[in-house]
Amino acid sequence: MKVNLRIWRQKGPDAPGAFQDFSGVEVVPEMSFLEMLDEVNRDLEAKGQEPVVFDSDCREGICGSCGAVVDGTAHGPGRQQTLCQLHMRSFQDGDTITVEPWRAAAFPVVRDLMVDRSAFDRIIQAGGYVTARTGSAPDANAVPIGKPEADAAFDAATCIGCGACVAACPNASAMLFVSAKSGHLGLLPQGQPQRYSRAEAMVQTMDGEGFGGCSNHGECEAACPKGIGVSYIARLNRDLLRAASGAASK
Amino acid sequence: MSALTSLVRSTIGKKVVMGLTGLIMVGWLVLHTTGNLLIFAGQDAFNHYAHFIQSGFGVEPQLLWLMRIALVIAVGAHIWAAVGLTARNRSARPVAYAGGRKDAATTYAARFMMGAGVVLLLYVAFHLAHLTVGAFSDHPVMPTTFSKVDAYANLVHGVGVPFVGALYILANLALGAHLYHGVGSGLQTLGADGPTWTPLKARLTLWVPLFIAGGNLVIALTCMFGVGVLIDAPDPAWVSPH
Repeated sequence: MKVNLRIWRQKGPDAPGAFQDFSGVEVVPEMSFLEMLDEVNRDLEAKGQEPVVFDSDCREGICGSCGAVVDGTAHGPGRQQTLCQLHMRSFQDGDTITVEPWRAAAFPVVRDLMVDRSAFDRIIQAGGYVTARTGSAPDANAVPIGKPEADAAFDAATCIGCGACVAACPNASAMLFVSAKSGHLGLLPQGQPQRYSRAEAMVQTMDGEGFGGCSNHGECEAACPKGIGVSYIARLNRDLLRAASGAASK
Repeated sequence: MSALTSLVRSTIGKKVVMGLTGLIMVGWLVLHTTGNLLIFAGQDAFNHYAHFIQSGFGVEPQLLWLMRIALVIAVGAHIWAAVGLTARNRSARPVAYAGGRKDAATTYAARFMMGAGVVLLLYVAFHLAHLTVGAFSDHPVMPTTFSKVDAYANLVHGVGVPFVGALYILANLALGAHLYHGVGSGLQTLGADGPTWTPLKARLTLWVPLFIAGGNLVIALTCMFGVGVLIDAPDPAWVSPH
């Protein structure tokens, strides 16, 4: 099958960008979207042209490196998948596919489809950790954790930090990411001592990075390759309200 | 920095202000609509209710002003938060998606919160001038006489003017849309989520706007097309002050 591609090309963060058209690109339905881009790049290199720059690493949906907005949807059509898990069988012969980088002030374009997501790293540095005494690992069952709490914490912990929530949000808000990261630690006993200071510090950093605010559109949840729900956002807000009301320090 | 200061300064603090003031207004609107529906109980019942409000709920006339001031503060804070957050949200995505961004989960109501909000602000100004102040009494395009005592006639005849009724209908459609997103969004922002709240939130999201906007729409339509149902003959008792 053949598809036409419109891929965003941009030489650097401050350079003006534009779509480059590739018509009649030969693909097979079994190809992943990134393999298709690899083929495009092989052709470009053969012609002595600059390949399309994009992030990728594990190519099995667990690292959070890849991501682009395909036909207006973060990670492309289909639910709960990353760009590397999108396959060309999701498209029809003759389709024109538009590919753009994540668009957010906090995620400046590095080049083509690659954006700088270090804002997420700084949010994690602000509070996405548990201060623990080092030493040999404690027994796995030393701290009892209820099944519902363990499940909820694990669901939040599946966040791979790909940034699709920000890309899909009409406000470019990072609330789903921040709420998942503060939630997965805040749900567990080990995360309790810093539960409220963590929530505060992460939100403060999130705001400082220039992400938008949450308007409860729910686009993040729909775009999340791990299906993380907006319940975590409500939970983060509860933690902040509890901290602000002084109830958390009692 | 204390937790309270840091919350107030954050985007979430603004969202909390928006949610709290919104829910205050929703609570007030439920009462207002319930009062409006007394129109179907007749002229006497409605005018006695109006008099009860004007007399400061039968306690102290100043109470009415206290309520008005509280509402103005709520509206002001709601707008302050909305403007601040909208500006921030715009600047969070300075370069739009050149190929467009597809909505997967959101609603039209959610996308047009700001637009509906502006419509509602204009509507509230008109509504107050129309039925509280009586600024359009015997106006050439609104040929109804405003009575200080007969709130029932003001409503029935005032909203009965076709283009005025149409304005009320449009405004209440905007109100319904605004509430359809606002009620659930406000509760979510305030952290209402879980086995109890999630299903309750879904029900409130539907029923609260349906009651408020739906109730007012029925009243407006009745004033426009069914005045006969409401008034057979004007009651002379309400022509002069009680």
